[in-house]
Amino acid sequence: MAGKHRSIDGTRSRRTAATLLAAVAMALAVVTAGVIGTGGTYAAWSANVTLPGATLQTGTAGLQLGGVTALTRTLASPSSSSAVVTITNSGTAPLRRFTTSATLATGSSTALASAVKLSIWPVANGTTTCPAPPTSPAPATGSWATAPQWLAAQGPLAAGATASYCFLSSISSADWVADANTTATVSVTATGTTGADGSGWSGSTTQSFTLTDPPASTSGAIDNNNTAGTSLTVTRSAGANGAVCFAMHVTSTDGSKNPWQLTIHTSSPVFLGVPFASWTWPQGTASFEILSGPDAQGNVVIDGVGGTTGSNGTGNTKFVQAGAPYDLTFCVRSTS
Amino acid sequence: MNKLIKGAVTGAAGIALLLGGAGTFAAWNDSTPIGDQNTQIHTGTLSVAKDTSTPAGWYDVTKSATGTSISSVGSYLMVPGSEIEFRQPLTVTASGDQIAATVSFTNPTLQNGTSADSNFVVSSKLVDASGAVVSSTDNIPAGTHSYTAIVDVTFSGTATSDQKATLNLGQSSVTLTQTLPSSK
Repeated sequence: MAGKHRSIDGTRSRRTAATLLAAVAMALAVVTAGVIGTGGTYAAWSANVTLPGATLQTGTAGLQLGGVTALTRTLASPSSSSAVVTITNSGTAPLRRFTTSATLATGSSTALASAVKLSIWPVANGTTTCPAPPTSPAPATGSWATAPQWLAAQGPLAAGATASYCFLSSISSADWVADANTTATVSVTATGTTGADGSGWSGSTTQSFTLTDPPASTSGAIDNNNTAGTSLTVTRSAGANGAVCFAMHVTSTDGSKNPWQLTIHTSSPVFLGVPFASWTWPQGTASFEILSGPDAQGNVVIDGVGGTTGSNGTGNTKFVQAGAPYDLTFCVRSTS
Repeated sequence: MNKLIKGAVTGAAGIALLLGGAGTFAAWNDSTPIGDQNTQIHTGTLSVAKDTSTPAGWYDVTKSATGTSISSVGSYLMVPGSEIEFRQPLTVTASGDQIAATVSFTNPTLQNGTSADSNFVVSSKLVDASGAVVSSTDNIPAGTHSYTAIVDVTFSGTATSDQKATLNLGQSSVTLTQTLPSSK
């Protein structure tokens, strides 16, 4: 029994030794392979330092228009008007490229918006009254229907910075008459981007204003300052675009040359829209003049020009030729 | 007695097997002391630490590499195209014959809320006193050196979003790793 036991112990010892040897050999092989596999070197020491984190924040892009509402106008006459408009970088990011646009509200008169011509040029901040437009560089020009890119030449605008521009608006007499009794509400939009190529953040702002071309007045009175021997009658009718038209008929009742004069009174100042071009005087080449007015009281005095001195006239008498009746048609309109 | 013999035989067999690759076994041996019995062996060092004599800080490098100091990065508002960086002066001490080390970074995370934000790029680098960048393959030699670790955050100039955003920049780390001398 003991020999058998010894035989079993001996077998176990050999197996244990073999197992140990295999494990050692395998460990050596793994380590050796690892060392060789990294090219023959490996890091032994290392040192480390930690850098702190932080909370970062981003800013905003913003642009504000100022003064656009001051462009609101009731066009009392075909004169020009100006106003100062400002743009302000209201964000925290510098803006480097700008675009502008103008759009008309529904129901607006495109004709009126087209008729109001624009000149826009930069002025110093703080300017309250626009000077005459410069010749160089030339102002940006257009109309409110095709507004120019008036900020195209604007340089970078730092956060909080402002730039100022003068807007000069004007309308011709013809357009002023033609577009009477119309309005145009214009929305002006300016956009700035952080990128000089138009990329990045953008800030945009819109303000609106209204242009009004008022209707003509239909009230008022007419004085026929005709003299003895002259008959002057006037009839009034509604003309196009709210104008008031007058048809004057002058005759010499005594067959002599007689002076005449016509005064129109309206309840408000009047303007003779395209008067001389549209007057009709079918009896010849005689011309007429505005003797006075229109004035603030709404008076316009017209008469004939020149003529031959007659028995009832002296000097540069405004007369009605003996014999033939004269017919004159003209239209006026009020400014408010 | 049998057990002793068996043990001796087993041990001998083990040694024989360990040395089996050589194919020989020395039966005789002798020894003699060599060298100075009192010799001490010293090891070198490799360390990196924040240089407390020079304050770390944030800089706006959008317009120039030199940049301008940011007094409070928490109040600084980044915009598209802006670039800021955190500068941490470091002192690297490396001693020991054949010592050399390379540098590596663990870039910090930058999260907008709970996710990364592709409008931002975060990078890290180490520069020496002259401003030259220490690349990941440059060996830092023995000595005491002053370096500056830089964590750079760049906001894309073409970004169209991320206004009024708050982003969390995580910690980062600079690691020096010894490079073992080349083998013979």
